[in-house]
Amino acid sequence: MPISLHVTVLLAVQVAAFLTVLGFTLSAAALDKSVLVDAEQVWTGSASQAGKVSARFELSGALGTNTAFTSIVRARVFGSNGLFPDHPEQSTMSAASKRLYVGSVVELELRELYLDFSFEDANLRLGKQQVVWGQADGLKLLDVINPQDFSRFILDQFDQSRIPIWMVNLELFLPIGDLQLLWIPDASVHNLANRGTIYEITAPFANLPVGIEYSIEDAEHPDSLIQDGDIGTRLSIFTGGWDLTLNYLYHYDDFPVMRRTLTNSGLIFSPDYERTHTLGFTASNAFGNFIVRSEFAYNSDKYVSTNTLFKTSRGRDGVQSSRELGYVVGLDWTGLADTFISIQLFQSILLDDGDYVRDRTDTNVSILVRRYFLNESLKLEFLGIHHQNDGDRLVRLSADYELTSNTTLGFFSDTFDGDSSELYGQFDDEDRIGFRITVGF
Amino acid sequence: MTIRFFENIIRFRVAVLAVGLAGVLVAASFLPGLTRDTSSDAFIPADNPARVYREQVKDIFGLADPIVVGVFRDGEHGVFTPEVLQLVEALSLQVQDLANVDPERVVSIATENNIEGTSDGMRVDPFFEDYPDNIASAQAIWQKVQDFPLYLGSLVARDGRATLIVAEVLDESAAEQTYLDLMDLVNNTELPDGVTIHVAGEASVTGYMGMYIDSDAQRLNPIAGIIITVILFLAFRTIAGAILPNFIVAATVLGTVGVMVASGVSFFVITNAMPVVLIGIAVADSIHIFSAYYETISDEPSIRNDHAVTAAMVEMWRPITLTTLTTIAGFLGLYISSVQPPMQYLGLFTAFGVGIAWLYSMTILPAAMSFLKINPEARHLNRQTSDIAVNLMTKVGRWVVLRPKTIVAIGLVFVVAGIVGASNVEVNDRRIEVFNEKEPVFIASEMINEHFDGTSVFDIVIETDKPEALFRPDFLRKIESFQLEIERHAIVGGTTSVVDYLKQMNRSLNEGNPDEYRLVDDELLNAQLFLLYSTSGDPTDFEEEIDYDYQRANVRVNLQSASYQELKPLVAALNQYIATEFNEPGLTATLSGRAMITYEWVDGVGKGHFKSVLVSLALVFLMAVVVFRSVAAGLISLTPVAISILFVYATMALMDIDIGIGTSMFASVAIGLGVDFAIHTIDRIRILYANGEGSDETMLALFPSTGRALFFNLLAISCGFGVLMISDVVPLMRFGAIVALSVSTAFVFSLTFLPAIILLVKPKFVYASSGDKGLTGSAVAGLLIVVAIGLMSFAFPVHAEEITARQIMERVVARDDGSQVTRTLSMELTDRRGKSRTRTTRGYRKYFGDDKRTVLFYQSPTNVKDTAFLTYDYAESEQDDDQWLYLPAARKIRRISASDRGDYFLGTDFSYEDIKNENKPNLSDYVYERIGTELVGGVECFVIKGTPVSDEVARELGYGRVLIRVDPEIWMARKTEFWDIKDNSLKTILVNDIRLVDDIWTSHELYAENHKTGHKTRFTFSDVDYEAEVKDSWFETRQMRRGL
Repeated sequence: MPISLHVTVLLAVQVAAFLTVLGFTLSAAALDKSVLVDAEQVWTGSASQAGKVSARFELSGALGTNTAFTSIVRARVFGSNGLFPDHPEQSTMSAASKRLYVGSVVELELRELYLDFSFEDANLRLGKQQVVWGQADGLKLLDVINPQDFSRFILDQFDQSRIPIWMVNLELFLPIGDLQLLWIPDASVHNLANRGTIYEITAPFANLPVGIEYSIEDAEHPDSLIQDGDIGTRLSIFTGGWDLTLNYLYHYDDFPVMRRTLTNSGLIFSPDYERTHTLGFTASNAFGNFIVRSEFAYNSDKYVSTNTLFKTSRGRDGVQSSRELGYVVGLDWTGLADTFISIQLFQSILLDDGDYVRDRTDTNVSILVRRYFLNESLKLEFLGIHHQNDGDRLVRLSADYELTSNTTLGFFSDTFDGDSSELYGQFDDEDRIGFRITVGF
Repeated sequence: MTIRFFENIIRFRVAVLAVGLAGVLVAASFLPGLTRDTSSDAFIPADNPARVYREQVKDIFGLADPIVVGVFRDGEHGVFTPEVLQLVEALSLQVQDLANVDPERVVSIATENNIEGTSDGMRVDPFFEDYPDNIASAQAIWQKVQDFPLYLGSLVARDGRATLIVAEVLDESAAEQTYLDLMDLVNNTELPDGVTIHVAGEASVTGYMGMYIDSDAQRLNPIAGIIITVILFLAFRTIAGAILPNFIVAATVLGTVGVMVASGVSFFVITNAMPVVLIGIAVADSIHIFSAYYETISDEPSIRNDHAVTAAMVEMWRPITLTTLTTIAGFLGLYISSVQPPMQYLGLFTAFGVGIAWLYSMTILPAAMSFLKINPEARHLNRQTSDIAVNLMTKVGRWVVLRPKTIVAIGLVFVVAGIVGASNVEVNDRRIEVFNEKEPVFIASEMINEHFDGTSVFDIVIETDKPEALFRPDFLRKIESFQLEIERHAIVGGTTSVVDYLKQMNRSLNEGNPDEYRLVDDELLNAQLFLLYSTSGDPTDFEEEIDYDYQRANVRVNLQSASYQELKPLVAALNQYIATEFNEPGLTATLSGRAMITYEWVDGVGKGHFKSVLVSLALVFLMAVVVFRSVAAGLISLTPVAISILFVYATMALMDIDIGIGTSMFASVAIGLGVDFAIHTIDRIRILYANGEGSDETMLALFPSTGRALFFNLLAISCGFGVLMISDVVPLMRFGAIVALSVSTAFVFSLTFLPAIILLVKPKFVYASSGDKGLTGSAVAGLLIVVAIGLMSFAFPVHAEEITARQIMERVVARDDGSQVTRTLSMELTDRRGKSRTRTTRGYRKYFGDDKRTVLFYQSPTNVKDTAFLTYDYAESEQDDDQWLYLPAARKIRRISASDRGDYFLGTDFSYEDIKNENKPNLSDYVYERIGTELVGGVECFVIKGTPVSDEVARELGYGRVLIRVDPEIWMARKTEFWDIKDNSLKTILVNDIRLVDDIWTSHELYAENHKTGHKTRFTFSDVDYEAEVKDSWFETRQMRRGL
């Protein structure tokens, strides 16, 4: 059991590091402690109930004048699940980022642990962290530095579903703007819902004939610390009222490339991961009550499943690589008091010809309407994401009421609509409603 | 040169009249903006500790001035019959419904609770628990009240023949209407046999007094005008001579009041004296000019009218200018020496008005007179030989010339008598004595004081340094001893404090045993008593006695009298006791309450009075020295006035009249008016004795001419003030009588003692003068400039009275708020049901040139912790702000739109505009207008009305208008009321807890209440630091992600 020993040792190191910092800082004066407990109960269409209690422990503080630390540990307790089997393998996680499971219901994760070193013209953030690029809400284009946990599809809040990873994050404050340099040795990738769980993604990775047997092999994960590391840079400029960024990331696409082979026993998927250059640009500005947000991303190598199962000149193993251009244009409007309305258009365009399972141009439209009542103690929100190509959609409604400064009650519903072969439609039977209580300490 | 000046006036008479008329009209156009401030608070400077403390007491214990309804019944059972008790209950309910009455602070036997012991502790029940529908239950209530010593003497008369309904008013400045409403209510109530009802109380007095005095003065001023016109007609027997001076009077009064309104000064109760004074002075100037004019015509019947006018002006400009200068000096003395704003304004604006009267008399009057046609008959009629006044004055003249020694001797007797009398004058006043003794409020006050412990109160605030410290037996014992000490004074009707309640509760716990009406030496038990009470009674029952965390207590002292002379020894004794017994750290006491305000007021009047007399005399003396270029002349011109004042003092002492609110003003008025007689006399004497010629008989010429003019001058003034003697307002009546008396005395002495002493002493300034008339045109011009500059330099820096609304707001905007600041801001949001939420932020602000950047980092609660909010506010108003929000959950910095200025900031009751401008409005948004002054937090503030410049701006801001109270000391808005664009009351923002931090005035609490939603927001600032380093880089977006 060399791997599990490896994991245990690393986890032990993490916990020890956390406890050391904890012990060290408990005596420090400028210590900032907080605990946020989030309890959630949902009922989904397939009648399974899922209760979840999540507690987030944050400890931060200064270590001397120019150094600060932040550490966040998350404990989650799941009720009757169906969401993940006992002791998941966590093959998508790098060894240093794995979670710890206690019994079948308790999950412990070191979410973040980093040190900030401040200099006159620079800031260095070392450790496990989240780095977010881009301007889009709800769907991701440039927000690809941290992988995401899709075990509840995209229904979890992003700060919960984003997987923090170990990296070196250096920001240089140049006269022209801020230059960020990233080196990410942590090769963790997206955590997709396991086979057989509710949110297992089946579409649109392949157009599988009905009834066909298939199996998925273990993925080949990038794991070399140096060779498989990602690097990135971003230049942020504020000029003439515009917030502009130029981004570049050389990285592994965190979605697996689902290569497949047809054998006598059926279809075999052999997922692996491929690198791509991502070049990005974002711009946003305010014009009166309107905010324009825009984000553009160019990927040099996007691997997309094809309809043909067999090797062709361009599509090998049912997968074809293409250049991809993605963009998001968003318009926010705040012209009505206490009200926020946002419309976004997402498009992903495959620049190279091919027999892809998806359309070459894939379009999503989202509408967000948020309104506050009672001096912002009650928040009602409507979010609709409509997938233009297939006509499937996701509608999310929520109402959150701030009971006290530290207690919020929420009710929500998530409704999927569409066919099983479609991105949102595949969960049409899994509409859910639920409530949550968030308590801060 | 002077001839040419008046010739030119006549040549350009139409232009002069037009300009003069235009000036009056412009000034009069301000009159509709007149605001009245009839409160007695106006008399006490805003920073007076008594006033500041009283405001605090009101805040802590909610002790507003009450209106008191007394229900009296003499016969058997007193008021404890079913009919009367039911009446009390009905009235209590009706009073609660009156506008401006705090419904929760209406106290009567029908609303109050009884504390009774029961087998298992204590029971708190309404006295009316057993409804008094028969005589037995009514008498049972009387029994209960007798067992409850606290209400005896305060709520129920000790003999059971009277009971009170005490109602606190919400807005004392609107108490007038409340009093009238209540009187209406009482008058429309059907009373059972033998029952009488009287309404009194401090709020009634305050409310009614202003109206009472105003209406009286408004009735009397026209009468004064008519009487003066009659006297003018008697003097000159021409229509012109009676009408033209009235025009000068009108111009003077309108001009002065107009300028007063334009400079934002309210019309106070005593300002009523100003028009009368101005009438007297303006008329005097005219009388002298007309006198000289008719004299000229009578001397030279063939003279052309314009020549006669010019000749009269050339003769009279000098004495009139001299009297103007000395009178201005007299009133400036009142201005300089007073501490009370209404007195100061009276001095300042009367001085100003005297100047206006002079200006119009020198220009408009000759221009108008030049239009007159000389009536041949008038020439004859005005020959002075046929005049009783001439005959009388000639006789006086002979007597003076024959017996100067006798006259001086008599004068000296008066001086001695005056000094003796003056030393017996007392400073005293009772507010209630403003009213005629037939006034219902006067009768009511007397009735209630007779049956109860007294309507006038001291509030003694006991402060400790820790919550719940007032459970300590040693502290309670101290309060108990203090109460016993206070009650030893005869003027004290009774005292009430939390100690009495504790005793009563203890007694209840011990089966009502009277011996157990005592304090217990057990801190825990005291705490438990309150707890026990709160389980069966309303805990706010003690609101008036102790604050919510048992840290501060109030001892209310009911006084049988609010007379200053009776209060004085009590105040001294109490202060002495406090200094020795309540001066330890952690236990202090302070005197407060309405009676303390009255005390301070009268105290101020008294102290101010003698000071202002001396200052006015000194200024008049200096002015006389300057204009006559002789110290001796200065001294001599002062004698008649000085004697007249001493004489008045003596009379007051003799007639037992005290120096009070109304009477204290007489001296300054008397000096200002009285000195004129001396100045005219001396000036005339110097002309008669010009070139060193003249014998004693030369003096005789003074009397038929100048003497006659002065006689009518006196008649006009003394009759004008004499009218006030028929006033119903006692102080106004006394004021009129005393001024008439003093001015008459000054006249008599100016025409007897003064020439007599000149004849005896033969001073150089008369006998050695070589035709030098002492004052040339250029000297006058110089003096007037000096006076004008002096007036301005007094007026502007001290009170900034002439400042416009716009200038005030410019100063507010220009107020230093530091080039940078670091502070912790805690926001408390409370909804109408009392549910509250809090947020704490750490914020920085810094100016980058004229641009301002602000960043806020949320520290709590946890679910919004690390949220950050960054704003770049550009000085260029066209350029929208740039704003960013950092949401820690998304780890993302969001560009957000420059918020609409009228939007509410993060769910608070402040709009983005309110927050961004930090209590400084955007000057281009509003048109500002001054509408008077108002007291906010004990500070006299300018009230500025702001109206958005356009409907568009109004919609943007969400405000249809605002009322801003600006503290003129620190140029900070202390309170702002907002109305929405449909003119509904929207919200009020209070700026509290203002302290100096790093030499910058800093508010540590902003409180906003939305009147529509009932939602409230309290911003509390702490750790404010203007000097700690604030780095430029903290206002970069990346800093938001990194946090503090």
